[in-house]
Amino acid sequence: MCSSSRINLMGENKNKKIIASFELTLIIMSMFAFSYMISDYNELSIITPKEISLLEKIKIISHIGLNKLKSPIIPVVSALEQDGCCELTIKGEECKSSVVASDCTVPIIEGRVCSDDDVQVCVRGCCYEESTGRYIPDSLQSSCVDWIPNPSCSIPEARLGCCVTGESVIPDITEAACQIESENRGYDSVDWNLGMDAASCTWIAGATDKGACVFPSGICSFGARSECSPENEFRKDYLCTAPILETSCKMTGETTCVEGRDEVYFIDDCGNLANVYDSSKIDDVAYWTTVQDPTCGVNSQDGNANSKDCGNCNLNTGGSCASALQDDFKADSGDNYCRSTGCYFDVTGEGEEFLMTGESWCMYDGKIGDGKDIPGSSHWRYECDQGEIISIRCGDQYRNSICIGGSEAEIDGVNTGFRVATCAPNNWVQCLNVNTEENMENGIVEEECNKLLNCRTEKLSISEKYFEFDICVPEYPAGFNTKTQIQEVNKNLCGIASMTCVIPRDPEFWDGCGWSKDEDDIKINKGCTSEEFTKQMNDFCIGLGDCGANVNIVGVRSDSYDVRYTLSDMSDGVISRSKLKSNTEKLSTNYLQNIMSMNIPTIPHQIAKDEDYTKMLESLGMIEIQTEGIPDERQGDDFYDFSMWGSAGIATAIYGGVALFGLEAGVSFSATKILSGLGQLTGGAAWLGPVMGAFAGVAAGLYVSEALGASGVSTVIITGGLAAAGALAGVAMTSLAFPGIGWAIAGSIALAALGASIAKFIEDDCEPIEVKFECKPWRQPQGGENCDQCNNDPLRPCNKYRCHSLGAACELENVGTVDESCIASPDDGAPLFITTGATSDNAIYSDFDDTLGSSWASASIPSGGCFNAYETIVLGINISKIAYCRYATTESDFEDMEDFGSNTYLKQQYLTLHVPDPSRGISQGIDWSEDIDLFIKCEGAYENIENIGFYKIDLCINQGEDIGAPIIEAKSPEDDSLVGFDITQKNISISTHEPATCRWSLDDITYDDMENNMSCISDIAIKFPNTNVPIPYTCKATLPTPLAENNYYINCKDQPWLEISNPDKRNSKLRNELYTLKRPNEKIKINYINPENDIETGTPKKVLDLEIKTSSGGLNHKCYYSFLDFEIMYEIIDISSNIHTVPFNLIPGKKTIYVECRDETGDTVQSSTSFEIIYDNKIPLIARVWQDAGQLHITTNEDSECKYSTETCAFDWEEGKLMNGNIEHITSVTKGETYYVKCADDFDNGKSSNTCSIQVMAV
Amino acid sequence: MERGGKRGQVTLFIILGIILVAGIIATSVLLLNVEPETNTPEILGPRAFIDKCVRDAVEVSVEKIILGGGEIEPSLTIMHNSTNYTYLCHQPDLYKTCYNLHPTLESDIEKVIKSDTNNAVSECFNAMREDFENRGYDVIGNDTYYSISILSGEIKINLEKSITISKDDTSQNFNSFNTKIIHPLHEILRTVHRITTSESQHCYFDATGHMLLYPQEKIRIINYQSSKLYRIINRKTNIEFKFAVRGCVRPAGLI
Repeated sequence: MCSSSRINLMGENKNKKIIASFELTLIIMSMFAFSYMISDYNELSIITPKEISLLEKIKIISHIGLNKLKSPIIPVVSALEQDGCCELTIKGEECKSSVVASDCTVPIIEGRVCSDDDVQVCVRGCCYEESTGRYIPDSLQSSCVDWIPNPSCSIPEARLGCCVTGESVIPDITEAACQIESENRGYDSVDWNLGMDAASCTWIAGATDKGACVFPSGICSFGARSECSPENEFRKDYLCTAPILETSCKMTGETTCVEGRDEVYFIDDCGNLANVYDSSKIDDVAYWTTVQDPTCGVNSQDGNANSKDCGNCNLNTGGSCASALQDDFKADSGDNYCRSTGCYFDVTGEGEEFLMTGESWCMYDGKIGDGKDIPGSSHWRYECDQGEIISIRCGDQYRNSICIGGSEAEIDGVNTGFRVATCAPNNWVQCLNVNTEENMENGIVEEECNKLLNCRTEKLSISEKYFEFDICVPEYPAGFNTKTQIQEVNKNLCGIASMTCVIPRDPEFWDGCGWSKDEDDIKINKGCTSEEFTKQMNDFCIGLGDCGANVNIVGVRSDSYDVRYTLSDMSDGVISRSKLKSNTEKLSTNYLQNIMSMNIPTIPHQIAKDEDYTKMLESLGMIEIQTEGIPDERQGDDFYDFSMWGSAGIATAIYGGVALFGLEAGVSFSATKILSGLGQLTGGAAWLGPVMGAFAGVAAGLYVSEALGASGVSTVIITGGLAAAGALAGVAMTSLAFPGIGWAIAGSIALAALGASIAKFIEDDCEPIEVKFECKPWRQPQGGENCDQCNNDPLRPCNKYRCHSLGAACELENVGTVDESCIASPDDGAPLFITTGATSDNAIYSDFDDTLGSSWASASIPSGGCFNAYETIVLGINISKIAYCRYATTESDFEDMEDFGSNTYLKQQYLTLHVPDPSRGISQGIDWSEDIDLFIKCEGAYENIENIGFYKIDLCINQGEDIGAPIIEAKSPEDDSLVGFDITQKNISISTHEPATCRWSLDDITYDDMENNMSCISDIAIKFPNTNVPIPYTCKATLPTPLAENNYYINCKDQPWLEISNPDKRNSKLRNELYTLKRPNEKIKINYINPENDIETGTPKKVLDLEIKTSSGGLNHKCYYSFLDFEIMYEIIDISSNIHTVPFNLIPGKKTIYVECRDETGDTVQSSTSFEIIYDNKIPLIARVWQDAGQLHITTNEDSECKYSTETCAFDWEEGKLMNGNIEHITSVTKGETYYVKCADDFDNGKSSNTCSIQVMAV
Repeated sequence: MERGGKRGQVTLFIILGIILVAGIIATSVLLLNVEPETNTPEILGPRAFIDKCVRDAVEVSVEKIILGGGEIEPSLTIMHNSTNYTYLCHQPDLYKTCYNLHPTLESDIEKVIKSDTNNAVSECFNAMREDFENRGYDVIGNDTYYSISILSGEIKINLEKSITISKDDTSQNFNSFNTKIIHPLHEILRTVHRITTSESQHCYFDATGHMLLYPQEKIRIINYQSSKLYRIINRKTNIEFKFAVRGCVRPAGLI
């Protein structure tokens, strides 16, 4: 006989089991809660630059000259139409930005993005659904009847709690919803528990009193006490089959499953639930008398999965009640059994293992991390769900999301054996932003890189002290879209790893320049003569994204890199051209085999790098390790966020079961910090970022070399290296302003800077050899024989990115249908031919004409003449099929040609050319006078390149005297810019379209009279063909800024090389350019930060806004915040320039928020605010009660509202009678009447209670 | 002796019961003077006839609406596996979280079911009236109050209409035709609400945690073309609700 002390259905052992399960559930729910906790920052911190509209893309492209296209290859014309926010597009999308009027069903709000505060139609709010009692955040007013402008629904009525209705519970619903649910289920009273989390709520469902409800007629019903009418007899813990109850219900061998429970239960012949199925107890009267713990299968490791005789299933460990009939399973008795909920899978590559439901792990398409993720690959999160293995691709495409975790979780050092994995955003962008000029100069790239998630330091070390530097690159490089017509961004990203190694030549004692007689004598950059150079550069290259020599997911390699040498005469040294070529141009078999093996899908025990997300989350206020200020009674429960896991942080949390599910939601944090800030700072002169970076690098290099006592060659090398680094810094800056162009220019600037240094060297010594590594976007292999391999794995469905990586001919067809698959577009055998395409405004084309035996066309200016030197022109070609094209100035081997356009298969390719100066003759790299022939060849998806002839474009360049003055194309900062309030001088930079020297003056005088020379690097030995980006010629100066408004006059003269021989031939503008820099009236300041005082809350988490007001300073203010310090801060994304707001959902405790604001001048101001969130969940206490003159007086210990009933304590708050007063509450009373009084504070503490604050009888 | 007496009593009651039921049926048939046919109002009775007729119509409508992700004619959808997924939370721009497009989804669905089945419900009453009138009865009815309530575990069909069926001096009144369909739609929509709320605020929903808390529900997520496709499946009934979410979209590479 069971003890009557058992208080619930499960009994003591069951309690243990429940507690164990509860703990596990709590762990899982912690993930749940955790995701909510950390997810708050997603909206705040995901990269939210100003929308990159097509128009802006065009702006980006315009910097490489494409804006000059007369008949654009890519459809840009429509985008030139004014766009704006559209409330409803013709496709049915609501609140879409950058929409042109013709695509919108209503007039667009021109020039606005939909998230702007003043775009009222797109303001988010909270919608109340009356019929369900739900509050729905982020709703548009247009789709709601009862709407308030509170996007997060942070109002008391929207607080969530646990609703108990009889035996069942509903977690996470509002009180109004609970009331509706209770009414619908026939309950008069509402049992709603504010703030109770889902796991606890679920648990209390099993803790309600249950027993037999015996009707006077002898009928019996087993259930909760609340379901038993008072006229019937409730016998707690008794079953209806208990002989003592003398009911009509009898024992059976039948079983049933119960919703919300794992176990199989016996049922009696009245259909009432009995104890857990145990075939040995079918006839055991005692087992059918009272509620008892199951004794069968208590220690089962697999939840009694597939047991014939025991129904003590446990979902979490492996079994859950299911129909035996459905599964064709033969139980000893009844039609139900414990169906297995576990799974078997080879997680580690070492054989299958058993996994419980809810366990998750990561799977990959090949090697991951360390920059080795391969093109076409994704990260996958697998999960066991009740016997079924399901998978999800992390993110959509292009590895913007990664899978982390997946090892067996540990709690307090104990292995739980439970695997937990999650998808998290790939923070690859921010890694590149670390490579700033300042960090590189200070040698702290690695240190800064280590602070970031998903970043690593690539340490290039080709030659000690010289070609040696650190670059912060992604741990998991992103994937690129190889099919988009706009390939510039991919090209420029890969181009970061396009670098030149300079190998100096010693002057021969007796004559000219030569090679060292002994290879060992090469002291500088000797490594660049070996394969090591190519290997390291390729590692760097593939670490940036889908670039370089790499393999796809089926192991087919494509080599998207070039190694080239710039010195033509290499015949008399120990290292001949052919030797250098064979050493460096081809990667070794061993290396390539390593590359080829990177596609092995299951690399044993491969897991993502164990990274600590704690600091980032702490900074964002998403977690809190400190327990100071947390009420004692709260520690250990709602604060499991961190008090549960301690300082080991997220890494522990992951393996402890607190998964980072929420990370999927968009952890891309502080790329935005610099991003939008500098976007405004640099404005339109995006390209100046790398320019300035490059030359800052040069300057730094000179400084460093001087400090090291280096001279001559070493100076060149150090300078070159740092210039490259500086350019990267500039790239990082500029790419933030105009993400596309920054990278575009980076390579060339780095090269240009190198060239400048080299040119300097040439004057003194001998021209060095340059070994240039060009890193290009990875190009998929020719053909389409592997396309079908995308369609074979149902757990890893194909998508465009995956499909396109398998072959040039692979296309995802029948998109959206059941037949969606990756198939090879057929080879129609038709010849591949090209036609002339778009040109820029300053160029036209004739059609290709093959009447003279080969296809040729001529390019010229629109009026038919030759091009001017230094012009930037665009030549486009249309190809009959997708193709990859190259060009050269002579008929060359395909491999030796330069890319015409992008390094990928497209139907349209365009080449941006910077027209060389014929007067500089052979120094431009080729021997020509005034005509250039460009020979083009294209390789199709199927076509054999050998069978395709050359196409030729000829163009001519004007010879003769240069009579045009240099044009200043850009200034940085822009004209009329604001500069820092405290600064006394400002470094500026200008760019001219041709080599020039420039001067400045405070007076409007002639160039020759100007007293201040700018520092110009214009004698750049530019090779032709060069990289297809414009070459800016740059001058810089430091200008004094003593006044509120400072005016400068600038002028430039071209052809610096004529300064000595023929200075009169140099041209300058007749009128100087006026350039103005202003200072703000006051430095930027923070007026206030809210909250500044302690805040009380009645909920376990408090939604509040951090609000910062700034004033003075420049026009554009940006603010950043952190809960930790001023070191790593996160941008507040907002539109308003002066009020900066960010919402938080914080747990109670003491908080300090650090704030830094800056303006476009670079001025910053720092401040912080400290406050405490005080959690008030206590019912107001009665301090004093008395009766006086027929009135009842009650004093409470805090401001509150008191109501009373004369019938019961369990009265509904709304129906209670109000007493007057806040602290002292008064009401008239009738003698002999009992008054049941409830008092509630501002947070509704006390309203829902079924007990009274006080119960008094009037005397 | 006593045992045999009880058995006799039971037998007697059974016989009386059979006679009583047969009598009622005979009286009914004679009174209404109709041939017994299956599923006719007189066989089922007016209430049962309407009950079945209305439930059939509502069931069809519910099925359609579930297929349409809450709408009969979805406005903004994405197709996958030849199935349209309606966007319940959508953000056309990059990076930003989605807007809840159908915040009052449950009450909207109630209205849609009502409007979709209004005619069918009228037809049910018309069919019943015609059937009785063809047999010489007078059928008088007043206005119909019809609404749908999606409740826990069921879809309640609120159908208030006063009908009097009479012939000669005999008449019968019917006032309420309320009925219900056992259906997990309410629970499914509660999950949908949780998902869209979480997605709109955090760009994320923890399906694993949800399935552990609510093992009766299966959630499947497909990342597809910058959208998340959700399938919520009731494991017991296999009733499935599909919808799509688009928010926090990150582009390929760097733009």
